[in-house]
Amino acid sequence: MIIFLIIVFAIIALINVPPLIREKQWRELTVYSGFFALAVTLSMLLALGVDIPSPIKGVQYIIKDVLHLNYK
Amino acid sequence: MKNSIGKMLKICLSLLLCLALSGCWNSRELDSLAIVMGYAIDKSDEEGLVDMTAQVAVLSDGGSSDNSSSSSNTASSEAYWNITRTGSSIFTILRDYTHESSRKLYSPHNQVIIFGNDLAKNGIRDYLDFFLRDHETRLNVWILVAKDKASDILDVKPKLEKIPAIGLSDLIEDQKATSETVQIRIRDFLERLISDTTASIAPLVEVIGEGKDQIVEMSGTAVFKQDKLVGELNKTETRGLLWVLSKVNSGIITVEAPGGTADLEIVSTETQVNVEILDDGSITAHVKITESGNIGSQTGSGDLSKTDNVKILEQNMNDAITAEVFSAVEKAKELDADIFGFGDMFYKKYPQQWKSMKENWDELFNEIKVEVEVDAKLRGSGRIVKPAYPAEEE
Amino acid sequence: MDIATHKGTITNKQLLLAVACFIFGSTLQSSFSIGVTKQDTWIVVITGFIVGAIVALICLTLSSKFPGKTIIEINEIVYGKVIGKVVSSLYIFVIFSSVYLNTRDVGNFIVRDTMPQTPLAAILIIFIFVCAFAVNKGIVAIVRLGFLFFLLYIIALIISIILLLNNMNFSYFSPSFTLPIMNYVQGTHIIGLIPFGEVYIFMMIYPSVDKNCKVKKSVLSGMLIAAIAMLIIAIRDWSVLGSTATIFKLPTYQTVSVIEVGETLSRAEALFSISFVVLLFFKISVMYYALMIAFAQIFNIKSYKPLTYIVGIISICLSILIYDSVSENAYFAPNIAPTYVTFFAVVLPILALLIAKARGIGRKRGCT
Repeated sequence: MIIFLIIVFAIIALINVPPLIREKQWRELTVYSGFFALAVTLSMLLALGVDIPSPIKGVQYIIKDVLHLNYK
Repeated sequence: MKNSIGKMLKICLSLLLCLALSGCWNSRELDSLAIVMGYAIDKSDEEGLVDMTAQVAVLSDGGSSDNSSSSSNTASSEAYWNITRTGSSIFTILRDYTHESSRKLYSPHNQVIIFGNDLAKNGIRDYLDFFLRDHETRLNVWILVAKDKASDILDVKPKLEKIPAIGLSDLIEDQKATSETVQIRIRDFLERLISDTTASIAPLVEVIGEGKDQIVEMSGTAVFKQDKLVGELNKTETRGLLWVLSKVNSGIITVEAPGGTADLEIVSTETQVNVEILDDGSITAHVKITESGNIGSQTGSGDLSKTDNVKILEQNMNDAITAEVFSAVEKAKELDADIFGFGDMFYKKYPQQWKSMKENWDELFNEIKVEVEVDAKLRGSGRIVKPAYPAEEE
Repeated sequence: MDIATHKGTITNKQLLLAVACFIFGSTLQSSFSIGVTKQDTWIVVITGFIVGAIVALICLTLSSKFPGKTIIEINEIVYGKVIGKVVSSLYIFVIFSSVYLNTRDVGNFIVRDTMPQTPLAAILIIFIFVCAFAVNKGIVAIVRLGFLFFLLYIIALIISIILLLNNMNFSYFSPSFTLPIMNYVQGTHIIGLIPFGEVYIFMMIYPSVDKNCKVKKSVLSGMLIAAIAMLIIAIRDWSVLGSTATIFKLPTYQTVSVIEVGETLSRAEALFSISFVVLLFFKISVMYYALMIAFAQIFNIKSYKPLTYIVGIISICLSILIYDSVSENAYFAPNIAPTYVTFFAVVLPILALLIAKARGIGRKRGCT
């Protein structure tokens, strides 16, 4: 699974990055790298079975336990 | 050059994506499936366990060879195979089948689910849960209750069909001709189970005869209180129930006729039920039945085409239908089971009062006054107008 | 990124169909409020539509005050650069949530109800891949599909009704208006915000429409068509299933499985499954597009295209990790989600409108 992910990410990077470098779009490249890093981390953690807190549960916590705006 | 490579890549990619369409991760080949045609569930001899029999269709040569091999009564000439296993719940038994069957059981073509009498007395809701929850089982499956053991029903080889379960399912559909049996699918049973007050019903089947002359016969209705079997309705009472439910399709009623008797065929009916709470607190249900029918056959020499005679016949028909309905009402009161759904009708019409009525519905049901009004019409008399008697001298 | 330079605009007719198809996807999941409102679900559909129309109007008014600008750009204008970016991030958070929640719904459906052994990730990867591909082609490409999906949905609906006429039992609807008031309020809130209220996402799309002035009419007409469809489905489902509908996870799916014409025409759930997946694909693609435009604008980059697949991968990861079980998922939609969406579809736009009025910015009349 991890190897599959590495290959996929490598392919995506190979397709997307050279055009950005060629056009000297540094801003785009930074943003792209940021997202790329996030994607790699998330998918690796998920593949390794690490328990990641879910953002939706965070929202649920805010609305339910803090604001008590839920129905049931 | 680059353009055509790009195009090729795109075509390859689309074809690759099409592979995903077949859902091949979850594919099952046809010859790895054991197609189940019927389930029979009985109380096991061991405490707290159930026996489940699955009738699997044998599709290879067993289906094509006819009665030519009737002398060699081996299992290979049968078109079906009944596997019975014991376990604590339906789902565990189903998986347990893989210990015996070379193929995994495939339920979507299942026609019937039969519950044994002993099991039904203890309650079938827990066993129904699996059939409701699983995605493979369908909600259109017929439910039946056996007079004795359910697995016996699946053992009887039907005369006209190759697989007992299919014979049984066709048998159920045929009941429309006499309307003396209810036809219940899981869906219908579920609807009555969810209701607070309506009693569930299911057709009864029994095995008649011995040995090779065994046949399966529909013999009335099983009445449940919630999910436990509490009693039975015989054929006449069942038809009375069907009158109220507006589910009579066709049937024959024999009535007295001038000069003999007449068999009147029911062609079409419609029933309206009106429930009412009277001022003095008592409750009534007013059942209005309209029916039209034909003369199927007659005995005796009465000339039933005369209008006076027709009126007599219609009146007799009214009385007969009323009698059937009342017999059903009596039996239902005796069993304390609201099989007609009167409770739900009160809920729909008087939602406020229903809250207080719900608690003692059993007593209220016992005291409900059912009024029946029948309007039977005789439309036709078949091909002949007068019976085959020599003409009377005027 | 100025959205006008991004290729293509869509016509108002396409917008109408797009809005309708966007909501159609949610109509097939009527389990949202059926457990709460039972036999009065049809009433709640009508009131929910009214509420949803009001919500849409609020967002439309905000958009018309700043024609040609998406909500992200509007936030920066109204709140100033820093707070604007903060508010925009919140919007990105909620749009992103919508994307992966809906993806999770599709994944759940395909895996649990049709192909149990397939791993969730595999289905999601294929699905998101196609969505990402569509998003990179641009909004015009996505919206053009709207017409096709619209037809598919309407035809499936009509066929199912014709085949189910025999099974409909209208006595299931009485007694009406007997549930506690809170149920109706909750039902209206759910229907008003989740199928209809999510139209706030279209605030990202309005700038791509030519003839910005007729947008109000198109959007409301689209919502009306979807509301009628939803009403028909609510009536159809309850009249066929009765109170048994409340125990099912997907009542609409069950209704269709009742269809049995003669011996041959049964298992019509296939039709439902196809419509469901296809319509949710449309909805997710539109939201995905809105999300990518939002990213592009908040980070001030020229084009969102390189980011699409990466964001897709992040969505897949999030879809998988948000819930461990179906029951948590089932709790969220009727109880938490309406409030969640209300904040972004109602509260924030009203706030923006008030601030814009107070600061005297934005077009006065709304349209030329």
